[in-house]
Amino acid sequence: MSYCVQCGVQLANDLTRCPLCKTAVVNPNQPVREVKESAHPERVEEAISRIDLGYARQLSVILTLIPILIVLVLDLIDGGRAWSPYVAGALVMAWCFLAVPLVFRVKRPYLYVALDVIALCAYLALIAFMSGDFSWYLSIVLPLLVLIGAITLLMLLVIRRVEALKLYRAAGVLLLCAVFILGLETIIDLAAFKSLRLGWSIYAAIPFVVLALMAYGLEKHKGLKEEIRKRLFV
Amino acid sequence: MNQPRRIITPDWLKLDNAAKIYPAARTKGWMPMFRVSITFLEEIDRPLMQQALENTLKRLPLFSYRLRRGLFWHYFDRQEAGPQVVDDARNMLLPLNLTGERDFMFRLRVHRRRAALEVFHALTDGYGATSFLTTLAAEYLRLKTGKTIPASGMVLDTKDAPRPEEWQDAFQKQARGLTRSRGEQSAWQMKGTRTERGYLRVVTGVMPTEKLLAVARARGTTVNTLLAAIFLQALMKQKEASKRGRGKPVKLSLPVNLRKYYGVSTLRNFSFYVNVPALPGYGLEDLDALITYITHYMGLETMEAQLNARFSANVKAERNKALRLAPLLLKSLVLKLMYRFTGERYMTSTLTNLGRVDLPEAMASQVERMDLILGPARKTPLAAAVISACGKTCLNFSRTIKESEVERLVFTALIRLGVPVMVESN
Repeated sequence: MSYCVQCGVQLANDLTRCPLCKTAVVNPNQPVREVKESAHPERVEEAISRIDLGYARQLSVILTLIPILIVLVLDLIDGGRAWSPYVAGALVMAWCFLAVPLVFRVKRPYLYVALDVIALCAYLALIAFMSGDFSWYLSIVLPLLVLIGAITLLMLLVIRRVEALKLYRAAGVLLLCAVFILGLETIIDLAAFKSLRLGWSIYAAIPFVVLALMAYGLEKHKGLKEEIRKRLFV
Repeated sequence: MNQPRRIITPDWLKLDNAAKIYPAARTKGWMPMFRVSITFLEEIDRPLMQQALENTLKRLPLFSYRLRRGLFWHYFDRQEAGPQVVDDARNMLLPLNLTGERDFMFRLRVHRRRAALEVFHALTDGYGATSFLTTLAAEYLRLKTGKTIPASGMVLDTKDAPRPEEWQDAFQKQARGLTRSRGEQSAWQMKGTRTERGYLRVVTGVMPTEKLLAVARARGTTVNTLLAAIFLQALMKQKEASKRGRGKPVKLSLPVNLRKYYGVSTLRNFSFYVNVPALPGYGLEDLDALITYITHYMGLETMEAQLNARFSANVKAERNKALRLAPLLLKSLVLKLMYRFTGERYMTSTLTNLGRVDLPEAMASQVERMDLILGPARKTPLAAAVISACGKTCLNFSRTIKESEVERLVFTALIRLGVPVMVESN
């Protein structure tokens, strides 16, 4: 057994320094040796900190419901033109956008995108209902949101194909951008002119298609890809 | 012939008054916990220890409840199975996971000759945990050696039926109408360099109990008061050196076991605390003066009526109708905020002393020592715990900061008083 020359405490056999004053163990009669049995195990365990998602879900719902109830009550007291549905709808939509991905953990993110699109459609439908005019909603907004949702989901599908090479995936995303632009003009034309007359979208889509073909071609041509990588690496 | 009445353990239990704050106060990385361990003379046989754990849980079913969330309050839900014995780790008192179906409010860790019980404070206090551990150890030795270990003191007989008084909420039963304000002066808080990921550093001082007792008697005091005085003196020196918190007293929290006042044998929480304040410069620098001061301060504060008035205030708050009807989610938020801003304001550190654990002779000859380690509170980085068994007193300091100055002051003070100290650390 050794003693700390500073503190005077006796030290356990496995200590090389005094734990109180950090002085090195000095005992010429008993050099520090391998100790068969140390007082504490060597293993350090990782703390698994799990968030209680059930509690977080309840909390997020309560924190959303409280302002909704407040505005509903204030609106009732106000007695004038109802404004609380706008606020309540916005809060529910915000919950869908912000809280759902955090407190509901699912393996595939498609459900989040689908829910966000549905929430946005529902909120704008509410606005249309409150204003008494559904024409703008049905002719432009709803088709546009469906298009955005579908394109986003497809892009996610393409990006998550990790077994596909990167440039193939980039080509897929660029093609989808082109499809989106064409779809956008289609919706606008049908809403405004009731007929399809693609014009500006073709010019906007062409560069995306060209880039997509270039990305696809580059991935196919390994030699050219290496040459470009050699010259352009950062 | 009359059949003995079969005691049916309740399917569920309400949390006792002291326990209600703990589920709300915990965070992702911190939980109010403590650890009590027993070191045998021989290496532990793990399958036998697992069997002993299962047998002990039949006798003390309080430990097989899990924490569940109701609409208005948390509650304990009985489980049939028990946890598995697990390997010990260098970093002690990692937070328990309580959200799973098979998650318990304690874990039993084993390393070579030592079995350690790490417990969530909502379940029980040091007395209850020590009773469980010593009963478990007796059962283990019975299985190993085949010899009967007679039940005495904290060691219970696993063949007996569970007793309803063991899961009684004694706070509810003993509280009276007269209450006392819980307001106190804020305490000076220690600061330091936090350890990585809150790694708990433990320094253990092992001393011969008889020598410590002799030194305490020579000064006309008890071991508890002597250690409290030395600890308080070290904290005051630390405050002087830090040059912070001028005017704020150093306050040492000393838990008091309430069972002796009321003759109850509950194994749930039934203790209260006294925060002893000390301000440097008021003649308390001398150890003997501190001993006298603590003796008289505790003498007043540990009068039964005083303690009862203080915990009755907590019970009264719990019975408040508005509080009872508030949803648990809201209650938890409020309790969490209250704990964050006021829970640890009134103490600098804690010294808990379980006293001497008298083991039956057949058991004491197989045991080397026992240890008690407190997990420090969320903000206060240092805590100390004392337990004596088999002729050895173990004083364990646990901290979440790197600096060990207070421990050095305490142990060197003990050496100067003539108490030999052997130090270990993780």
